[in-house]
Amino acid sequence: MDKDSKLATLVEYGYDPVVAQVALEQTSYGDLNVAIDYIYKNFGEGSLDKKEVITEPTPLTSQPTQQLNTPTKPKRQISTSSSKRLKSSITVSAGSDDCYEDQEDSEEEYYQDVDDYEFDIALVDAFPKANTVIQSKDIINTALAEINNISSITETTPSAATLLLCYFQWNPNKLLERYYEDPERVVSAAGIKKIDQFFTKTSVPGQMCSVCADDLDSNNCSYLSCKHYSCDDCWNQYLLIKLLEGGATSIPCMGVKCPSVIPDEFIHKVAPNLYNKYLERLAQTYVDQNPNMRWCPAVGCGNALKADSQSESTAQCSCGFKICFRCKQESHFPADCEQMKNWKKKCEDDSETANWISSNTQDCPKCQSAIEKNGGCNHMTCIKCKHEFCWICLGNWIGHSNCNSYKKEENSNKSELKKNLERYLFYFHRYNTHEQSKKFETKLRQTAIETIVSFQNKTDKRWIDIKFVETSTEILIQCRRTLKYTYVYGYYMGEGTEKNLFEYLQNDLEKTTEQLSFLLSQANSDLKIFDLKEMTNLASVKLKHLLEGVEEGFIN
Amino acid sequence: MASRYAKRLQKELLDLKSNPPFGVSVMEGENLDKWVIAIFGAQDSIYEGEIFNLQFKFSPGYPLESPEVIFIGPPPIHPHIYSNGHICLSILYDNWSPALTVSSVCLSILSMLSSCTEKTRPIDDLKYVSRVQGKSPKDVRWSFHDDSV
Repeated sequence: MDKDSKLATLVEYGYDPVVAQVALEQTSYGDLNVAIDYIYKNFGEGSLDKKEVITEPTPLTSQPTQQLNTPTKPKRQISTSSSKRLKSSITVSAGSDDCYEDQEDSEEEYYQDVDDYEFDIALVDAFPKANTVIQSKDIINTALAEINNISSITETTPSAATLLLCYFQWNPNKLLERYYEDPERVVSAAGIKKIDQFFTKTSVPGQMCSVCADDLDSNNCSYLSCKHYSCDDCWNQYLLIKLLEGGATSIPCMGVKCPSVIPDEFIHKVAPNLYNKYLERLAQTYVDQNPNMRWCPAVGCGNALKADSQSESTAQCSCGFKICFRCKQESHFPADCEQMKNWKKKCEDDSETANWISSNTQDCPKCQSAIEKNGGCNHMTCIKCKHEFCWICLGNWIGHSNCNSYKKEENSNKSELKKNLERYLFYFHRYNTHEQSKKFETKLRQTAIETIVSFQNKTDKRWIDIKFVETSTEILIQCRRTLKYTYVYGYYMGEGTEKNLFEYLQNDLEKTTEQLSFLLSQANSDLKIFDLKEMTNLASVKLKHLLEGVEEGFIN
Repeated sequence: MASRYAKRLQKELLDLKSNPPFGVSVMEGENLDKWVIAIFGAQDSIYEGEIFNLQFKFSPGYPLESPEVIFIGPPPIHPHIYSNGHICLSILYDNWSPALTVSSVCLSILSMLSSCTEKTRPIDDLKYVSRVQGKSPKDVRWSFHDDSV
């Protein structure tokens, strides 16, 4: 392998070309593994990210975030297969995610004796993925592929195919079925009036642009077969306005009440600088109109989610966000859409009280000093008196158990109304607390990678262990989200054995989640890998139990 | 942008002055961005002998954007013309096309007047006028019920 191909291989792995060059020079173009080690020691994991930031302006779709979702494989599996795979990957080629594991491999032997911890149970993904994530940059290609497909089958122009697809809400099967039944009826119903020839960059002596009154005798004129002449400059302005208004699929000709629709090739020729804008709009229309697709609602994420089957209600984006397909909100399992609707309405109706209750400070139950919660963990320690208490029920943390079930007070003096309000507030407070915690912990996701990089440089901890912080964070967020919605579920649940069992499991998960949250909040200064692994595993198992119980009934 | 707008308006003004359509006459056209045009009620229509003044205001986006057109002075009594001078006519708002001109707008309004058989105000005149006080008709959301009059 010569120098250039070594460099090319490293770049292919996802390393920054400059970094790779330096590493190869410093290791005098020796073994590639040595060079990779050098990169990790001197540049940290950032060298990988850096490359991706340069090549991909949309960082949300880049590799590191995707890594979060893949549950870490059991260690044994890696150690048996990776060395073989590494050799072959150098001679052939490898995707950038292999780099992470290459690193594990090089340190594998050293830590073989130190770490004999293994997972008994693979980490549970409580929501198995049943959807396709379409990265924001690929949406338009998917849409164009569908258009071209229909266009070639029906032997129509791409513009006509686009209108047909819009009419059938991007359902090609239904489209073709109807089209073969009665093509003419379908075409007229879809609003395809007249899309045929067009002429660009021609001159029409003796005519004027109908917009700016310029002469059209210097190859500056474009028009459709309806012969509404205009200069290219005015077409550009017109198309810009129409695209900003939002329509991409049926921009009419500029003529007064003209039925012609502007074909996309016309936009491509007349206003090439607007063509990207047009594609953007087309992608927007594609996702908006397709009943099987949803935009990922996470802030700044432009990905689209496509359900693989109609019945699926939950979809997960590669950014980690989970969405309920029916109501387009964050996934709210175990509560159902109807319950969420009622709950949200109730929260709005009671917003004044809710605002008061959700305020971020509480008094320490022992010394009464006001405490603001600034982390996700609900195990509080008062700075002044060192009293440890539970943020949710304000009870003593030591010997603290099940604060998750609402106990009816046997005080008949209170009116029914007051009791109802108290019951609601009880559930709302817990719902809201988990929401707040989740917000804090979602920030952890962003800092997880930074934490990992800093650890990589200053400690001797194993790469795979440090990477595990990411997995733990994901599990924690998943637990928090589920816990939050279990309180909606619980609020609408009837009393009885089912509910007792549900609350038992809920309480179980809640305690584990708090412990996990605590471990992760300490991870920056004191990373207890074994505890973290154990707790993450425990949390995911308990989450699974709770969700299974909700789906299959608790009594069995 | 400015040149497109100025050139087109100058040309339109020149055309209107030198060769005005029947029943249309430019009253004020010194400023390019605001014109006043008189229209004359057509013979044999219920507006015969009446003269109305239309005010056209052009934004720099003209002709890609529609002009603001209202009646100034007493407006005709017509089911699509409000007493504050606003005109309910789709080509002035949603159905504007850059190929429309001042002259074609005037002719549309004249034809709207000529085809009317009864002098009535719009049903929701009072309500509308009090609601849109001081607003430009271009900032109002219009729904067009009837294209025939």
